[in-house]
Amino acid sequence: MLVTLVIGAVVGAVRDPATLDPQSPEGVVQSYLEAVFDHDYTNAVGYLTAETAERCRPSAFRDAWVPDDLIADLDEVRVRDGQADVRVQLRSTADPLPFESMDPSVETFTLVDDDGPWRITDEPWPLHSCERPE
Amino acid sequence: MVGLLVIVLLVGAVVWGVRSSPRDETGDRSGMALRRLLQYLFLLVALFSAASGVTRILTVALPIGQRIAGGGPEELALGLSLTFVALPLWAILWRIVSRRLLEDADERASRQWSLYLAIATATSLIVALTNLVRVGTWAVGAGQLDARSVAATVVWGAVWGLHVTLLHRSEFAPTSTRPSLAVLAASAVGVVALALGANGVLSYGFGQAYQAIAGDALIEGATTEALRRSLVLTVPAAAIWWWHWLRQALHGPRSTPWHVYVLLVPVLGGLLVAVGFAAVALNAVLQWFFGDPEAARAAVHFAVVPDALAAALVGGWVWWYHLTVVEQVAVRERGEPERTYEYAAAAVGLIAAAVGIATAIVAAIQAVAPAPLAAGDPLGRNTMVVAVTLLLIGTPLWWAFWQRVQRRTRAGDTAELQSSARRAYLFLLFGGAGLTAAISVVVILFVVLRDLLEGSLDATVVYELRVAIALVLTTGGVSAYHWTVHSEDRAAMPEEQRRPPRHILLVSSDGRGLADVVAERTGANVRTLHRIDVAPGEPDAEAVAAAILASPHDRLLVTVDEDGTIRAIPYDTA
Repeated sequence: MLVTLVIGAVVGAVRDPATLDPQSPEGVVQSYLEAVFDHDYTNAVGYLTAETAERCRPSAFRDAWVPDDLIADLDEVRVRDGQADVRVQLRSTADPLPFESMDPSVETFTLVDDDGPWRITDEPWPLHSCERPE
Repeated sequence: MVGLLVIVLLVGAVVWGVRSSPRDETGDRSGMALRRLLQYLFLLVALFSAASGVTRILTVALPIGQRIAGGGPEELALGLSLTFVALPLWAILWRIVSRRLLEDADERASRQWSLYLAIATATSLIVALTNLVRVGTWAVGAGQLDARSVAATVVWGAVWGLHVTLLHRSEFAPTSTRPSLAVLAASAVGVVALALGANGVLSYGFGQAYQAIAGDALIEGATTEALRRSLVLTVPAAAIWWWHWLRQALHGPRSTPWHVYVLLVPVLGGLLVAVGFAAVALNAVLQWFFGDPEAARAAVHFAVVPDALAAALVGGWVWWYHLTVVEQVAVRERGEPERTYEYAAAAVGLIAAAVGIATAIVAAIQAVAPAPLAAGDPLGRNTMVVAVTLLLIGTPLWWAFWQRVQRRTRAGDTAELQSSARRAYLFLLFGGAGLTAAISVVVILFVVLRDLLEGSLDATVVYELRVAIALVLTTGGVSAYHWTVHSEDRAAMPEEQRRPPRHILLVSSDGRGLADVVAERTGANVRTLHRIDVAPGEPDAEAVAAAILASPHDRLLVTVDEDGTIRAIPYDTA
């Protein structure tokens, strides 16, 4: 009975990911991360600036390593002069015991607002091997 | 899930094994040791699994932080699975173990129980402290709060508290001289965390002072956020260190583990950090005056010095404080922990100096040898500065410790001559350096022979082989020196300490008569073979015996030539 209550209470407390304004910098990062987590790289490229998207094709995502069961928590958002830095904590639920809670990686996404929607620039996580600009 | 199944099966097997094993196991010490090892290993696995499970459940349940992607039902499912399986298993195992501990003083005194306490205490402390710092960082406005950090701080802090309580309850505390093992492990966590935190605070202070003196020279000034983060680490780390070291381990039994910890963790570690960061600061100074500094302004170039000085000071304090504590223990005879510390420090100094010498030789060859047309980049002046820095730092470090141990051997300290630390030091340096030298010789021979056969051998080969030549000279010298020291050690060993060769295969024209005399003189088992290629003679039996006794080897093939030349060739049967 007690076990059932505990499970019920915890399951009831489980939160879905927050719904952010898709036009805000953190909302764009959220949409980008959801696409990456779903391995929908064509969609993910759509959240990059035109210059970054030109260099970082969907194939570049396939070369990157994205661990399974990732969770992204919003850490900090800083907006200044048409540029935004969105800091996100990434951790995997599949990390080994007992150190799974010790060292989540922190990724910063830089976004620019070129008189349009916010878009991610600067080869964002998980990319690392985009083509070099000519 | 496979991992979970394995844990369940293993813990189940141990529970079954522990329950079915006879209570009186005094007649089977190895079986008992294995039983204890498995028992505490699985207690540890069950504990960590249960703590991890509860942490995951709390992470999901706590309404803290803002999850923006991922985090399906997997974390909760895994948390619930781990908790519902590992927690009851841990409870069952603990019930069995605690009963044994209460009834049997030998169980409390066992190494396995001490080791379990040390691992559980140190691990839970590391995880709790790391997450507490993250929570504290949020509290001082230097970061965001997340549910995982809060959950892990609470759960792993509780695990740590539970084990600290066990350590202080007489019915569970180890009764041997090893109660300090868990306290020592926690002291190590405390002193490392305290040093990291103090280094951050000191770096900030030095950075501010430097900025005040040098003006706006720093490319990126230290922020108060960095100071706040460091203070958040320093405060709990100081509390942990005070509780585990100042209150307990410092006044605990000065056992071998105590000396191993103090000498090899804070003393050796502190010394290496201090010397390493002093080298960074010295290199910056030398590079400014003799190298090619990247920055044009001194204020920018020397911006690395405040951080390096802070780390060197903190490392130096950790070294000095703990060394003072050790030296207050006057009653203890010098043992292997002391020797290991001194030989390890000497080895680090020697390796640094050897790298410096090798680099200097490479630069010298480049300066005088004719370079081929397609020569690579010449060795930069900064590399030479690094070489000089390594020499200036490594040589005194090696000399200070090496002279100290050599004074003891010269004074006839047989314990020093026979110590495992000294043997390991000599053989590792002789072998490691010798192997490097041999490989370098192969490279030199290959290149020279290749060019010779191609008909293209000229003076530029010296330039091409500069690194291999430098390695042969440096590592060859190091290897030869340590072989000489090893030979001197053997010669200095008292006669009764040296074991004469025991198996002699004697090949001479004399035959049985000589063999009997040699066997009598040496006490060895002598087999003899009669030479027929030389005229029968009467070899000097005393000289043969002396040649055998002078050899350090256990098995010898001894030949006596017609002109009386004696050859003692060591062999093995493998």
